[in-house]
Amino acid sequence: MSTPFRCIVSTVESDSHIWNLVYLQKLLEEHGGLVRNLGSCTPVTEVLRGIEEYRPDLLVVSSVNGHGHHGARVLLGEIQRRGLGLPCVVGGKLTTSESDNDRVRRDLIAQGWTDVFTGEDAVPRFRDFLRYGERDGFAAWQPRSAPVTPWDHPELLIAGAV
Amino acid sequence: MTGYLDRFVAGRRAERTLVVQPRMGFGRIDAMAAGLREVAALDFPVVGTLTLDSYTRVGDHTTPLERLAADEELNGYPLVSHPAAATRRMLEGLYGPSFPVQVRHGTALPLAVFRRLVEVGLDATEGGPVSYCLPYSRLPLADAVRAWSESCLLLAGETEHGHIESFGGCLLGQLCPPSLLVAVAVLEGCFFHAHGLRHMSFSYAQGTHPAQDRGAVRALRTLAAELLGNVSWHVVLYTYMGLFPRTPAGAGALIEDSARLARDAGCERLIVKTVSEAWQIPSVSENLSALRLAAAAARGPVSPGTPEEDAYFEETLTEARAIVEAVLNLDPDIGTALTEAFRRGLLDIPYCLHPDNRSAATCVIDGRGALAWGSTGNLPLSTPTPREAGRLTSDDLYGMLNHVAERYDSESSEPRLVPHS
Ligand code: B12
Repeated sequence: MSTPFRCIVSTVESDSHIWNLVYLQKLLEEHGGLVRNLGSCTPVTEVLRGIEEYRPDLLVVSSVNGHGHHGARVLLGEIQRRGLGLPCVVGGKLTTSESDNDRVRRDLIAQGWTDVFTGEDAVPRFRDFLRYGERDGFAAWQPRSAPVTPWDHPELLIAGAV
Repeated sequence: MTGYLDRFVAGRRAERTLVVQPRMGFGRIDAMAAGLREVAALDFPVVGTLTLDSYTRVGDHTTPLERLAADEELNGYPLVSHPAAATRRMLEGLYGPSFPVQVRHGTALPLAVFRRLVEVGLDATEGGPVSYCLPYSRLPLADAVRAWSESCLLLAGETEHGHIESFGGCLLGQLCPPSLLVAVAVLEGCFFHAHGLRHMSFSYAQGTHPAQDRGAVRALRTLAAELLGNVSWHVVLYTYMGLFPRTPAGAGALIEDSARLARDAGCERLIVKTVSEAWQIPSVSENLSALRLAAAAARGPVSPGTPEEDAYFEETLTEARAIVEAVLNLDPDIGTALTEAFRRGLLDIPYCLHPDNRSAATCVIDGRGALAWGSTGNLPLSTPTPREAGRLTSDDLYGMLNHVAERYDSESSEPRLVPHS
């Protein structure tokens, strides 16, 4: 397609699912990505080493086993501690319940993830993100904010409004 | 003499009743206990399951308790992290001859899990040096082989009737030709046997085509009888292990078809999925409904085989036998043979990213909707394959992964035409 960008695909340490990684590698390549796929059960240290060696323009983390929320927090925490600023996105099935999706998305974006792709429209939204990134750079992306449901809204809960 | 699981399954086989079993696991002891209690109370033959969480699977026994303390959920039961006494208490009054319990764990280095399951009084588990390494970890296969040798010897030594079910019939859950599944299951059986185990089961995961599946299960039984005549074994079918239908009707229909397949192919046990499969960890009640659905669908007479099934049987048996023989001929030590086979590409799991997998073999879904080799790589097979029609795009791959789900989801609103041979 257009100018190639460098990209690392990984998952979190406890997640051994592979098909999501194989699929995302192909999708990224079709959008001009030069992909280094670090494979399943990726230890944090391997991702850090990959970033230092390969200097990617984008880190794509996929997890579907339900432990991705925690794993993503640990991973980005380490990336930030090392001062390795780069656009990072994460997606898949990040907890053991679909109803967590909005809350988890807000939490991870607040931690510093460039965007979080969960739910049925994850792939179409990701394609938009890739097209935007190719044009304007991934770092400039502004994630759409997730809706705050009343039951996820602590002030409303404290006020007894729900 | 045999253990609870073998005896229970043999008893139901004599009554021509399929044994059903969930893939259930929860992080908290009270949730796990409640789930087991409700499964045990069902009024048809069931086996209970402790499915372990994926931190435990990679040998991390501290994070599970930290996450539970932080009020998060786990995707399974952290058997090694919870105190042994608590697990023993949970099993008390439940686990017994009429309610065997199996530990399903997905660990490449299983010693800690084996020690704990023996300690809590259990003797039945799942896995294998290949099938719990390549799909479940990035550790070297040689390390898994060593750990599985030691762990099998431990189970054989510490229990009277230790039972292991090979996960070889599943591997990555989808897009793998049946002959490789059959070969790995039987090879792992030989590995268990060489390490002192005399009670085992062989798995086979439902594929994309019922006649092919029936033929493959027959091939599995034939090879197992040839190579492992002197052990007690049975065959366990897994409801489709790939991308699952998203609609409740589609998922339900696939679960029912898996139960009929198990009955028709003469499988003794069925591991049942749920309507939540495509989405999230299922609840206890979803597990119970799925078990009821499967048990009901499996009743009724066996539908007769077909010439199509016979052809798939011949094809699968020929290929699986060629693979098994090539591997066994590599080295008198089966563990060494398995490692060497992957190095040479005589065993090669399609699409698997594990560093020890050669990834030259690929799988496609052919015009009949059956699983077929795209390329046989270095596998010891002379099966003709289609000339590689260019590289698969992400949409091509997703189309194949989604083949079964799509079919069931789109059929689900219509009067159902069961794709039975
Ligand atoms: C195949 C499979 C397996 C195989 C995996 C083989 C392998 N090594 O790859 C086996 C059988 C070994 C397996 C094991 C386990 N599995 Co599994 N598995 C599946 C299954 C059936 C299909 C996954 C698949 O092939 N997907 C194909 C890809 C292309 O689709 P996808 O993964 O859904 O990803 C899509 C989107 O999510 C999205 N996406 C994903 N990541 C990202 C990232 C970004 C950036 C973007 C934009 C999009 C995106 O894009 C993809 C295309 O649409 C799913 C259920 C299902 N979906 O039907 C369960 C499932 C993922 N497994 C699950 C679990 C829990 C496990 C186990 C822990 C066992 C257990 N307790 O049941 C172990 C995992 C061990 C571990 N250490 O992690 C759960 C996760 C539950 C949750 N999140 O709440 C699921 C959902 C099943 C369930 N309902 O219980 N599994």
